[in-house]
Amino acid sequence: MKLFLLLLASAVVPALLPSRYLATFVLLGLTATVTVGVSLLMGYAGQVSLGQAAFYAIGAYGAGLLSVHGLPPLAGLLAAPVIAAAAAVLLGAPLLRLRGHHLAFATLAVQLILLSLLSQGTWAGGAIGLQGIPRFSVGGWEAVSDLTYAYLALAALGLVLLISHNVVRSRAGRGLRASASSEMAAAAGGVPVGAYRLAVFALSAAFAGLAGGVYAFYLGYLSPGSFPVLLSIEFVVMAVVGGLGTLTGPLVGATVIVLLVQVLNTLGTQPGMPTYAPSVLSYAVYALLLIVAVRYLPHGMVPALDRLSSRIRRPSQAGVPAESPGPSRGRPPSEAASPHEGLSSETALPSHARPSLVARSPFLARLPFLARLPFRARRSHPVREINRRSDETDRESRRRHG
Amino acid sequence: MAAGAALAVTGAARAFGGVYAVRDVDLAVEPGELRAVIGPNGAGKSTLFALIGGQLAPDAGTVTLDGTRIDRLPAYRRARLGVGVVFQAARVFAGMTVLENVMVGAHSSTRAGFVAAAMRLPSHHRTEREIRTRAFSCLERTGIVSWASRPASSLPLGQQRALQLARALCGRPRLLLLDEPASGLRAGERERLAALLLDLRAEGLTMLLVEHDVGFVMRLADRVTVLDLGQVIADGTPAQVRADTRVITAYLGASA
Repeated sequence: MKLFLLLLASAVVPALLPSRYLATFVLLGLTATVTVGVSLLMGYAGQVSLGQAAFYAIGAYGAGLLSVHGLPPLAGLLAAPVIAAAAAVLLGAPLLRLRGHHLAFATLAVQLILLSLLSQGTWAGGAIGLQGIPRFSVGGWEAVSDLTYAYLALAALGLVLLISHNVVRSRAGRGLRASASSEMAAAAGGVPVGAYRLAVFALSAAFAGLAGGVYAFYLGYLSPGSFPVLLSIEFVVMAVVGGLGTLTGPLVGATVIVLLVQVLNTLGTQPGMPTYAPSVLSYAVYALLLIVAVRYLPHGMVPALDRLSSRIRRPSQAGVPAESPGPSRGRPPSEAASPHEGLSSETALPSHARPSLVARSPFLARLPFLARLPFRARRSHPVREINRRSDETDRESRRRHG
Repeated sequence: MAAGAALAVTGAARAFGGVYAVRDVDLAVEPGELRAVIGPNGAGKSTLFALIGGQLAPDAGTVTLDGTRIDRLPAYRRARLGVGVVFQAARVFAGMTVLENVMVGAHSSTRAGFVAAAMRLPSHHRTEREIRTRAFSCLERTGIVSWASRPASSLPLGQQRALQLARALCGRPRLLLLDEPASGLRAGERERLAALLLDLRAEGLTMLLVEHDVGFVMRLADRVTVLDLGQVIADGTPAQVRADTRVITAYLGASA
């Protein structure tokens, strides 16, 4: 509910903003829309995509190409999420067999392939880009002003949040969260883990595709350069900085980082600043702030704020560790229960065997693909897992009986 | 294969790295029976459990549930056919409440997917209501209803076991598999578990109990199957098994 009040409050922002800031607002709304999908994928399904900008691009080019070839823009906008989701299903069916960092790198590869296809293909305008995309229109009404696009972006964000909210609190959503925690137990409860992973991958791609559609009509021009790999990584960073496992997290993460980048850009291009200022500021300060976030807000900003506010509200329980972190936030305390499928390898390894940064930072340990880089002492396999379990059982029994 | 058996395992074999953990195992559990599988260390109990539950596929042999072959099906399909599983390790879903954990168990016997949920269709609301009611009744049965809104990972071991049992029951299983449900429980918890299992048997639920605690098993089970080195060495009522000399040497003798 808090979330929708926040959204409602942000609906008055574009009307009050000076028009030169509206472009940033549109960008922010679209970025947040994509990040909600990334957060759903990472926080609730335990999967990482390092190629989410590819689906953003697919939606944008899909909507752009359809309307350039004479279809009404509304049809293009509606088709954008469908095309992106269909692409995700086609790609995901083989990719989701891969786990952890394999999936992350495979999605990254998908984006690189897509970018080279787009810059080679004359049908997509090649490296110059796709031009002449009409303005968004429905019937006789045409969206011209930035203000209209600001509300269009906000509507996309609201829709995506509503869908995420509904999915998370449902039978399917529980199945997803369960499979991220223990695949074996979820399957034993009847959850088709693979199919659900594919579904949420497609859903997150649809969100990106929808944002891409709005982007295409807003700019009227698309080029492969607008969808760099760095953008995909930025989506992941926003989701993590905001806080995984919450719906407000991606909003906060996207807002903070988009605004930060804008402020740094403005600062760097002030008259009197040295010529290298923009790049130093946008990379160095950005990196520094990320490190600070990693160090001091390991679970992201929203969970940290939640904890702070609950501490203020109930000062007597401030010292009780089990009370302060919410159940869906923070690191699951009983990861030890599922050593071969958990999100982190912390329990599977002696601490000295792990790289110090990953070991010391719960933030990094939460990125499943990092935790699964080959620092593990042994890779688990269901068979080995069962052997290990029965070994332990037998040892325990021997102790009891012998 | 015995006619009319609820669960029939024939010629089941599974090897790990060339060593058979389970070999030529035949097992027929009658409807409504509470069957226990016991055996000394490394007898293949957990492997047999996983072959029936679907965590492992057999190298050879068949597993049938009420006449339907299930040995090649993935675990979630077996769950939909009515196989409920309680693992020995406390595999609760961290980051979810106790109630939500149990509601996941209803997956196997309900529908309503992403689209219905995203659009909040009437079918979604109907399913949610049904699942919630069912989950509460399962929590009541296992005595942890007062923990319903707590994070599942905050429960002590005994309650986590009860939670797993509630989750399995929420799927309305035809066959309930339990892997050492009594291990690590305190005496009182053990008594409550025994009473619940007897209740479930009285309702006609077929159960297969893999257990190391011989005393617990002999008191509860209708029949006992004894495994040693991956093979069945005895099969009969608790009294028959207790008197079997092979069992005494292989199992009781070995650990006494």
